[in-house]
Amino acid sequence: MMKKQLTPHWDCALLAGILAIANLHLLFSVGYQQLVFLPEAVAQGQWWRLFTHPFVHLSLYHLLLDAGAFFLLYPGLAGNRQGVRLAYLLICGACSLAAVIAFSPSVQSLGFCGLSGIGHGLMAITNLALIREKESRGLGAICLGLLFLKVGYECLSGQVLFHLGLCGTPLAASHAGGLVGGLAAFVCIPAFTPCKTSRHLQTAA
Amino acid sequence: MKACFKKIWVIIAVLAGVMVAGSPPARAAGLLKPVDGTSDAVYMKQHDVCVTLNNGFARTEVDQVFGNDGAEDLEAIYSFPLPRQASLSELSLWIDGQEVVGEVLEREQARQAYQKQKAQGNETALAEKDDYKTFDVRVWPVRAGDETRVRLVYYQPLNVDLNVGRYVYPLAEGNVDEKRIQFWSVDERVRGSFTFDLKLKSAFPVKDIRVPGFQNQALIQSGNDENGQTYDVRLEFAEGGASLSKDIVFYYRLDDSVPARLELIPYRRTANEAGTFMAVVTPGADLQPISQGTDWTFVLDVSGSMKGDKIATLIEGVCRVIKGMSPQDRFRIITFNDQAHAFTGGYIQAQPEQVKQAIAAIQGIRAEGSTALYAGLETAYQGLDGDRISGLLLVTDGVANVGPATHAELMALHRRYDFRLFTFVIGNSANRPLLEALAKDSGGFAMNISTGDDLIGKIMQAKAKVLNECIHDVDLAFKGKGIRDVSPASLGKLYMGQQLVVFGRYEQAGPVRIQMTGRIGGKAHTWTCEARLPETDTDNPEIERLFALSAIEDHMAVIREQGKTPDLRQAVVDLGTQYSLVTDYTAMVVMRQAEMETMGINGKNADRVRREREAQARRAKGPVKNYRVDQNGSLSAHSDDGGDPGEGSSKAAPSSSGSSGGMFNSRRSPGIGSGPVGPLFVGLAYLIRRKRAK
Repeated sequence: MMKKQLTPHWDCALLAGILAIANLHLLFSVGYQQLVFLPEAVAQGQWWRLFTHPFVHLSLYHLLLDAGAFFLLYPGLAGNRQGVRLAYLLICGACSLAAVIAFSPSVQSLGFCGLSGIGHGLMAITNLALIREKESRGLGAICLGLLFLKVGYECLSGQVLFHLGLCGTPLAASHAGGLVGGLAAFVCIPAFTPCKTSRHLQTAA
Repeated sequence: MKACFKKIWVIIAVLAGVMVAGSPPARAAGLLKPVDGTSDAVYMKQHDVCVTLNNGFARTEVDQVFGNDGAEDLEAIYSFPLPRQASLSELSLWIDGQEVVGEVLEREQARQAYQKQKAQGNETALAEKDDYKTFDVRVWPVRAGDETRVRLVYYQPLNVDLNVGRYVYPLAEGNVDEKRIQFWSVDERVRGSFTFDLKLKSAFPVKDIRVPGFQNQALIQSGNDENGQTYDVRLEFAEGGASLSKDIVFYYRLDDSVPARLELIPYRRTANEAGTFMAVVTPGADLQPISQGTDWTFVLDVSGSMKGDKIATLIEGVCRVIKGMSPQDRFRIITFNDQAHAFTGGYIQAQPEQVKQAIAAIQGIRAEGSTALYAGLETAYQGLDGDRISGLLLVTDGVANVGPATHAELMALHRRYDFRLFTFVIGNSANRPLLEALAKDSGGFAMNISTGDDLIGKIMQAKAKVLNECIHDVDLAFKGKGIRDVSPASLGKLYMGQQLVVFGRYEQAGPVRIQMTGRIGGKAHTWTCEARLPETDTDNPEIERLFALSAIEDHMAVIREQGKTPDLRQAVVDLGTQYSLVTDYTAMVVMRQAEMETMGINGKNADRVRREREAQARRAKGPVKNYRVDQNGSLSAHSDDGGDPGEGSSKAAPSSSGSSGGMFNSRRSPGIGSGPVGPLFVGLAYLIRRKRAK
């Protein structure tokens, strides 16, 4: 049987580094307010918040869940093509943020942070890629179905599952946005990045 | 709907921006000197400020040395903007190297005592309150070629909004008192040292602190003790180059995991005396976004005090807001100075062409004249469309001085129309009591913005309030034996992020059931908690002064609206003298001990100050103390509609006991928006990864 290996690359190391820096405040007394997404601050020219906000987390619980899911999913995407992976990341992040801005007015007053929206997008991409593979089609379909159920419930209830009050104020729209972003990314990216077998999952021997 | 939300916060944002950016550079705290140039020899040699934020209130101590390089003894008059909800409680003068603490008398009596001492050539000082504008301190004499040291202390309840605590040391003058401007110039320079030391002791984790405008200059040290965190901030201004012209604002952000809570801070000296308490409620309630469209009316102060950069920025700001509106929105603009002008005639649909024309017209606005606030509001109210949701945004930096201008007249006008009014008050010395009363009465909110404020932070707080539901008809009831004199008398509405600070007295120690009630979206809600008031607790004697100040404010609100009566005046005098507070009808005077005894002035304040200083010394040595009372007792939250319990309290039955979630069932006070992926999600990701690895 061919053994497939997941090979982390420079992009994973870079993202892990940014994540570590953005969450230093969980261990040390350092500020993090300059990194979260605040619409007004971005409008006033603090553009970096658009890129830094997903990496900021509000508790170790929050960080462990989001970062855990992210690093389980992200390195396995798109073969070894870091550019494609990063494109997925950007699309999922942009859609998650757009959904929050459009459907969660409280973001205007509270701000926004965290990787969970992107995590949902990456999960969608992963599941769709599994569906494309004959041998993993069932697993992919079940997981994608579960993902839709989770996001649907969260959108209808306005609550985020397992929030436990440890992650700021729940903004359910971010997960829905990430999911939509993942679907969109999966549909769009292959058109520009031809690849053999699975275009979306690591297939290197 | 969504477009409407965006408009609203853009409007709030720009207005707040306009107000902060457009503040006048003009006047400041400092020594008042006649414009004719006499008394020019008096100067401020030293200005040292020491602030402690602890146990729900702030203590501000201002230690000053005045010098006189002239040939004659002179009187120094130090004036500084009235800090919000501040009780001026100590005025000390150093006589023969010894500190003498001032005593509070009825205002006229204190003035006479001061004048008498002055006439006799004795050392004396007098602290008075000039309505809502300033505290003024007179010191006699600053001897020729010599120095005089004076110390002031005032207390304020701390305020946390959206998890952000804010303290302002007000120095910038509002430039609104024309009489004063005609006769007095202000010398805000400090020839020697100007230092600002702040100590924060917090029982809840602090994530971040900021001193906008001084961030690079501030020396900050942090530490932890067994119960909480401490921060020390120090600002030192260059000798000879310091000026008391810019507010110092300090922010601290509590961790987003800090829960909604009830803190109860008691003080009772002995079991035979009445005790006092301060209850601080940080609610955790689901306040949903508002989803209705709104017509907006801008009521803009274009009086003379807005001249210069301020009006230019105001114009730019309003133009930006209007440009950002969607074609479905409507707006109109009322300006006022000597009289009101319906600037846009009526409502304008925000269609591109009409917006363009309106902007061209707005750019011609000029600032001049007086402040006809009544006319401005009346014109605005008259044009409102009762069939649509309407909101009024009043932006002003001054006080009404043309036409009907009294508190009562403006309140009566507002009650005739009953529309929600949001007031934005820029700078210090504006008529905050009036603007806050107007906003509170209408169900809106008043926002005070210092020129030193962090604009983004203020915008965030304003947006949260405008964009979300609020709790209506809030009441906080204390059910226990011998509880009385709960103040403030009425609480009104509570907006997202706002805290509730309530004071009261108690005769008997023992259990007390604290019940907060209110309506959200038409449904009645109740939150309850049981706590215990102690037999004795001498840690926070300052609570008594804050209680008295709150009670005085209740009386003053009635006086401002209904007029002064002998009973109301006497009630204020009694509270002021009993608790040694400088009020509209009381003043604090310092003189030699022997003179005080001759005049029959008892040492009530000296005793109180001694108790406070002893307690402060104990607190300084001890660890941070947590006064949260709602996490271990009998707690519940429920709605009274018989259906959905709401407020995140779906599992809590009314009057359930033994919950450890607190009064608000473990809800967090509002924090940054986010949400985790969840443990099942991580499990699924792991499963997929393993499957693929095989």
